[in-house]
Amino acid sequence: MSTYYDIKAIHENNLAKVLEELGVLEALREGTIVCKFCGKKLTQENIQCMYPKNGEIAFCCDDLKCFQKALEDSGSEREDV
Amino acid sequence: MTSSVSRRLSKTQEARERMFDWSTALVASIPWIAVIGILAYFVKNPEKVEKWSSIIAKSISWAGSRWENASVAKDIQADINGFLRKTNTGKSSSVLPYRVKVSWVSSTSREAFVREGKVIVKMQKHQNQARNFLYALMEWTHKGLLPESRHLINDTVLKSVDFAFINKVLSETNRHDSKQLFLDEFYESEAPRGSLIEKYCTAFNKLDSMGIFTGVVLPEYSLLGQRVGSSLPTEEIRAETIGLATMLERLSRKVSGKDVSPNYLGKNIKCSIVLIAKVEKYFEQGLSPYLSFINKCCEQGFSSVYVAGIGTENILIVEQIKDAYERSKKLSFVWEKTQVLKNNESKVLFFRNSLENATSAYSDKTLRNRQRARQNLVGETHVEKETISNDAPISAETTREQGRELLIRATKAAQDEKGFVKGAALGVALRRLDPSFDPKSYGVSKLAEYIELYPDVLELQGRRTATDPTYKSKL
Repeated sequence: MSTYYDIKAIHENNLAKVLEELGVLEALREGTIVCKFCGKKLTQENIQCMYPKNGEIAFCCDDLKCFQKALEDSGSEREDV
Repeated sequence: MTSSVSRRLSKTQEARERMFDWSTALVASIPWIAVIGILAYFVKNPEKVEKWSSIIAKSISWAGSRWENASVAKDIQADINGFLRKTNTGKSSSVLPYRVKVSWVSSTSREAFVREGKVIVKMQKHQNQARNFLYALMEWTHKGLLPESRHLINDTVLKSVDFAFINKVLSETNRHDSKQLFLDEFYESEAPRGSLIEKYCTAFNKLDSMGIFTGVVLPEYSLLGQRVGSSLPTEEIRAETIGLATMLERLSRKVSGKDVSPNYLGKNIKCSIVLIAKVEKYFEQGLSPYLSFINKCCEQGFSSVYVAGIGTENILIVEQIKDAYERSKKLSFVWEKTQVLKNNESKVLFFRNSLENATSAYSDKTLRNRQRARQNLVGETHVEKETISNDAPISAETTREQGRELLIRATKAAQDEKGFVKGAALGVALRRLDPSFDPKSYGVSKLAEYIELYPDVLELQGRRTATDPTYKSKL
């Protein structure tokens, strides 16, 4: 039997609704949400992913390098020696 | 007479009618046969169902968000799962244990999102599928490639494995637009020319053209997770993952006629690769050199032995080696993997050394025990000459100890009376003691990282980013 890895996705058509439910749409429109890695101001166009971190929501932009960092940051499986 | 003729006529007519019935039934059943055939094909190739679903959904995506979402998700699933099915054939599924599934989030509360703890990725309209596919592939690779071993592998090596893997998937799924994005917007800055990551990626790419990346590199790193189990990662384990990558990188640069050790013998990674590349050697000496080399690996305590051949003739030799060890209780055949390469075919066999715990070149076993073990091995009595390179295997432990010794000597030479050492002075002392000194020999790229490998020798004072950092000797 196959095991699946679930990629949780939001279609851009549905993004505003989900952001509103998370309570961050207004802040995004006001330009107060930035990419955790490059500090770029986020909009509905350039936001790429979000994930919970220490009880807060972390956001990242559509730069592939930032996305890679977000993947690393979202998992806590790697422990520094 | 008349009645006999009419009887014959009526029989002929009946026969014609029966034939007509049969042919009508046959014609009528053609669509059903076709439907059953198509269904059987789709059951056998589920990713084709996804691909066709995606095409159909895309054509009617104007009809609603449901179809638009389906066209994006099914297209990603079809290509990644199709690649997975092809790659996992005959090999340990712990390399890539998960199929991919895109689940749409249409509604969530902040509490549920935080509790679930998962990344949510934005997907664009299907017209921008190149980007969607790349994000999905990067996430799947990060979570699904070697999941049991990722935490044990050195960061540089892990990134190199990931990048080489992503590049491979993009090439094999013919995602040229996604590959261009990956190279332009990511790879060139993350793996700059001359960097260690670029060096390893180039090596893995080259090894892939011989079937060794998915046939040896990924399975061996995957096995590490199984061997180490739930233990926490240690410096020693991560150094071994660098050692294996270094050996593979050297092997990828091997030129004909020059010997390169195909072995890596650490504490946790004990891997040997038998490359069958020259059919002339087989014609001259038969299987003896190969069997001799494999037997020696068993005796030295290598736990994994891979036998790889490219091309029809070399694959035949690989199969003969498999037959030779079929009845051996000392070397167990675990799996074989055949891959269709660009212009050729390759075959890799994986054997597990059953003598691993009984024999080790670095254990305290007596010579007598080793000789007894040797006698039990296949083909040993027929070995006449060994021609495969059997350089001393690179040991991570040995390299690390040499590095420590050098650092201690340099520290003693460069420290002041209070035991403080300046980074620049240390660098000069290291190069004076060993003119060929290069941190890369120890699996790191900078002097500061090399020093950090030995926290029992030197301790950083202040921040690492300082122009000329100061260290305190612990000697």
